[in-house]
Amino acid sequence: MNLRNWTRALWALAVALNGAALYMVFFYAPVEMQMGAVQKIFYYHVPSAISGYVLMFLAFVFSVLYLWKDDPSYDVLAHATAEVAFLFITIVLITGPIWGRSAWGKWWVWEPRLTSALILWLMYSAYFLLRLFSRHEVRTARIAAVVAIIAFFDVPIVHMAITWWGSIVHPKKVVLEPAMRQTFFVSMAAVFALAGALTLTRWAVGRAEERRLAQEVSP
Amino acid sequence: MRYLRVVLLVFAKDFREEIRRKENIASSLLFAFLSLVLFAFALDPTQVDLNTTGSGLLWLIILFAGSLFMGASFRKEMEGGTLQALLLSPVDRSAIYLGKFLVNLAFLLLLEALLLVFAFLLLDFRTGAVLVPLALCWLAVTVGYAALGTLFSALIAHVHGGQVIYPILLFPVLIPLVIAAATLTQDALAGRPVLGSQWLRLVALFDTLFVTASVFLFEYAVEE
Amino acid sequence: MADAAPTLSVQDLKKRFGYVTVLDGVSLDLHPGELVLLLGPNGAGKTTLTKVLTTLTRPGGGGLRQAKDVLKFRGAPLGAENRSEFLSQVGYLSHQSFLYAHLTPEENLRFFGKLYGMGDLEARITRLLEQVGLSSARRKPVATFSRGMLQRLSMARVLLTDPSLLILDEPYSGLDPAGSRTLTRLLAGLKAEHRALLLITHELEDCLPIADRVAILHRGRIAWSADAAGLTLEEARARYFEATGGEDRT
Repeated sequence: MNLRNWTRALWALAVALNGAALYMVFFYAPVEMQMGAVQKIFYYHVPSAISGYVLMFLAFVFSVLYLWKDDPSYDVLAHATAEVAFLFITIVLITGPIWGRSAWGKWWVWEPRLTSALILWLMYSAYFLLRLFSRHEVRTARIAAVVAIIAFFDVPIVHMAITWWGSIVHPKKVVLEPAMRQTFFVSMAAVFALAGALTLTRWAVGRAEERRLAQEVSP
Repeated sequence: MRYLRVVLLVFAKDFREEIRRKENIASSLLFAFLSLVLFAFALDPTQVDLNTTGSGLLWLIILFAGSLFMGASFRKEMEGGTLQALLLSPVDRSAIYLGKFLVNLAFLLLLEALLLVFAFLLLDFRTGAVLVPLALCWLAVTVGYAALGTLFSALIAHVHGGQVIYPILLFPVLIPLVIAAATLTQDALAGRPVLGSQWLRLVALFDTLFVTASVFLFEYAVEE
Repeated sequence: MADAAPTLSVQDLKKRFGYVTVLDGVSLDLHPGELVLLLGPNGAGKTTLTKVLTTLTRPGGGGLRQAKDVLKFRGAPLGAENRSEFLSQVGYLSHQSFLYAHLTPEENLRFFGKLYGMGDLEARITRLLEQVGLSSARRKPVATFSRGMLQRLSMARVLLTDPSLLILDEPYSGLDPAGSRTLTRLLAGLKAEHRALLLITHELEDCLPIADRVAILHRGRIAWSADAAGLTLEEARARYFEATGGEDRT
């Protein structure tokens, strides 16, 4: 089965799982006592955060491979994974405050995990801005790869620093009833499938773009 | 050792060049002074006391003024193609990086020292007896700042509009250092012991990690 | 003449940037005392070739595999172990000055001399500055120099390190007839000193008389190469026109 078919299959799976997840989130999972209906955003917030981090790690790996092998296909992969990671971190930064508004009364609180996500978001914004500025340079890919590597190395240090600095506790651990746990697994699978499908599609777009550019430049 | 001699050679060359040029040093120092003046106008001194809660502001100034200087570090090597000339020479490329790193470090330390003086004169910022521990903390933070600042300067040397993107690229990665610097400064000024502080350990970790990473990644940053 | 290994030997060199192939199998030998002319239209890959030869960029790229001995320095494959030694023997002259504008000629030469670990530096500097006629300006900042003076100082910088291989990228551009004649005489002298020279140029008239071989680079390949002995200017031009598919005239 070739890549296009895998991508289509994954999209089909993602759509199905997300449909199931949304159904379960709204109709199956019980409403949490303390936080009310808004707590349900957790079913997408947490898997998005996990997806973001996993994709960021992949972007790091592909960046390292690119520098080592000097093979542009790794750069396309790094770019694709970084972009989808950025998307999911953005989702985290949107769903977090929505949840937080009802939990804390304010749209934004400087609590550790959200703040770390914000810094990651800033680092990756700069990564894309750099790609934008240097898109006509031959060395774009290499510069971006170095930035992605440095950003990734910084992640644990950012976490450490923010945790020591931050004061407010992340919403108390939600105790999951069976129905909630099931819903959570489904939503996690749904988000992962979506992340996978997006990445594969973005990768395909990236490859097509590179081929088009290559044809333009060659005599 | 030949390696060390090359590092010092690059350092000496760059140092001499910057002194002759004057524009990078002058604009950075003047910007720092200007920022202090602006802070005096923008902030209410009864609410923000530099000696306690406001001391982190000094680090913001160091960040901005310092990046003005460091951003030019490799960009100026584009004139006359001297970066290529350096890369063509039979030396370890990481030695070139370290030479530049030392120049940036030296300048930043000068900037910080002068900033302390300006802050004392303009805003009655006093360090008193805690100057030594404060200086040590600042030195540690500056090493990390200079390490990544130098690497990123090499990265954007070829990029059009690199000066604009340089701080946007650099500052998010430095946030842990900024927090550490502000906290350590406040602690030092309050008389709390800083030398065993976990924050200083964080800075040491940052420095070790990123000096090493930069030395290693520099080769890739400058390859054509 | 080819009794010793060539100073630099290139075998089937390929270079790709991303998905674009710029060099598609270049083979070339540079022997001591030989002057090789490299011609080619813009975009043929000449600059890229010099970048690979001077190790500014790696061979291959874009997922292309290249043999370890694609580049050989004095018979040994060019790798990390002998890169320093190789670079200490290479002199590269391009349209860029490779000089620090805020330093004086003296300071520039001293810096590069020390960087290359040259001995007897002061005497060497004095001699070279005399040779290029810049002794009187030795303490003036390079920023004040005219274009001609810059070119002469650049040459001094290249000669300072006593390279056994010189790569010159369009050294005749911008020179008046007198300057061209001086350069040709200098190049002949360097040849006589048993150095290997690779000259990238469009100005055949000036250097064909002293050349040993001529090669034409077109679309990343050596389209034609021959001994320069007995090659007339008209013939060379005709070959160039042919090899580049009528795209360019020199």
